[in-house]
Amino acid sequence: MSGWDDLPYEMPIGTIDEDTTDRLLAGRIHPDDAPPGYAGVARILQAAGSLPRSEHLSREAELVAAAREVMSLRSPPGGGAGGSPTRHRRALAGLIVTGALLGIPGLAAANALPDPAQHAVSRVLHKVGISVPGNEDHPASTGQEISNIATTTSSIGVAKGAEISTAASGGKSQAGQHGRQAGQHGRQAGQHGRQAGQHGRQAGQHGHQRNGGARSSHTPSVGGTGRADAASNGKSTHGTAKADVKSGGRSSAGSGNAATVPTAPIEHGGGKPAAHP
Amino acid sequence: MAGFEETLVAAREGEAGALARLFRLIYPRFVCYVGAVTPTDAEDVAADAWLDVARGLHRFEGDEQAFRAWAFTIARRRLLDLQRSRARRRTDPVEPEDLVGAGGAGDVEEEALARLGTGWAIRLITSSLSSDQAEVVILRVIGELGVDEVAAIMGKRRGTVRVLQHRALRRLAMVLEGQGVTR
Repeated sequence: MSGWDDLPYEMPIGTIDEDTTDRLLAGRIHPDDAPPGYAGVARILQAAGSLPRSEHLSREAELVAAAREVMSLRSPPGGGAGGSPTRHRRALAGLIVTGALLGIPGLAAANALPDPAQHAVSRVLHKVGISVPGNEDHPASTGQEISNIATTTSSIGVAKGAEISTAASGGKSQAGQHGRQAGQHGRQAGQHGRQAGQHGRQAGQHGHQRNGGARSSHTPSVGGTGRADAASNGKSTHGTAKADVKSGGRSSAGSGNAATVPTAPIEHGGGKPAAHP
Repeated sequence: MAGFEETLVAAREGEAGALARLFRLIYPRFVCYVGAVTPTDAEDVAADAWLDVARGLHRFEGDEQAFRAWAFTIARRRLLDLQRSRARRRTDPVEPEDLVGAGGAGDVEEEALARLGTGWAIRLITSSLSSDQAEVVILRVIGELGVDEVAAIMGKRRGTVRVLQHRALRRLAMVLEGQGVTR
């Protein structure tokens, strides 16, 4: 005989179910009791499962000692050099978070962050009662504060606008420092009289204003000018401070005036009443 | 004789006798399992796997069956590491002539099986079956593991393992009965 083809007989191999498969693999079927064709399988599996343990135990003393050594190198549970990679990663992540929590406010306190980040961190820390540079950049940062300045200042005209602008920009605005100023240059309210929203010449200069000139009032408005206001008898929402300057502070410029000055139509040549919503 | 739980507790404390009991429980199995894939490296890989088991002993919780499954997971990882690092023949093939070479006059199977040892049986298994089939059989027989445990170790589904083991036994039967071999 030289190979499997020369075997003297062939035994039919039956089909085995899951339970028989499991019992064969577990070595619980004796070869004599195996299904047809599986006697040899049962013997091989039994042989494979009967471990020749003694021949592998020659290194027992050596490897048990080595095991004791590696176990002694490992720190007690909860920390130490023998920690798992996962533990190291967690520790690293904790360090990063801690560093961020301590480092960012530190940089903010040193005013060393880029401006947007500095403002953002400053706002956040301000809410928790920590003051770092960046909070006071805008001393009048709310609309209410700006409004208060606008309604209470004694400045008028360009000076008033500059004051408001300076407050709103935290001192960065250069409004009123350059360019021509109302009352000194350019066309001025009351002289040339072209009034915003009205197309006519300004009352007081050419006698078109019905009520004899601009009304005197404070100028609570944050926008608007005297021209249109004067022309519209206090109803204008547009214009500049020129009228206010020109009228010696008596112009009822500004949209705020529009709400306080009685409405009256303007009668003058060529002038049109300002449209109001 | 201490139960497994007591042995485990003592082994965690580094008690030599307990560690020796765990060693005898798994190390010979490691050698057979690894030796089925890479005979020349079996002892070294098994030793490394054993030391990995010792290192992770404090993390393990479970009974003896679970311990075997956990230990074989570690051994298999070691084996895969070796296979990745080396391009090596999976097994030393066994020619059919070797199985019947003794050429006894009567019952060839009897004569062949009479010479069977564990190593020889494992070589027959690994040389006759596909790698997946052989691994399933060896883990089930040598590791004394169940289908679910083998599936978990190999990263396969339970049904896949069942199919693999069924085909493996049928194929072994065909080899031993000489009815031709196709994997």
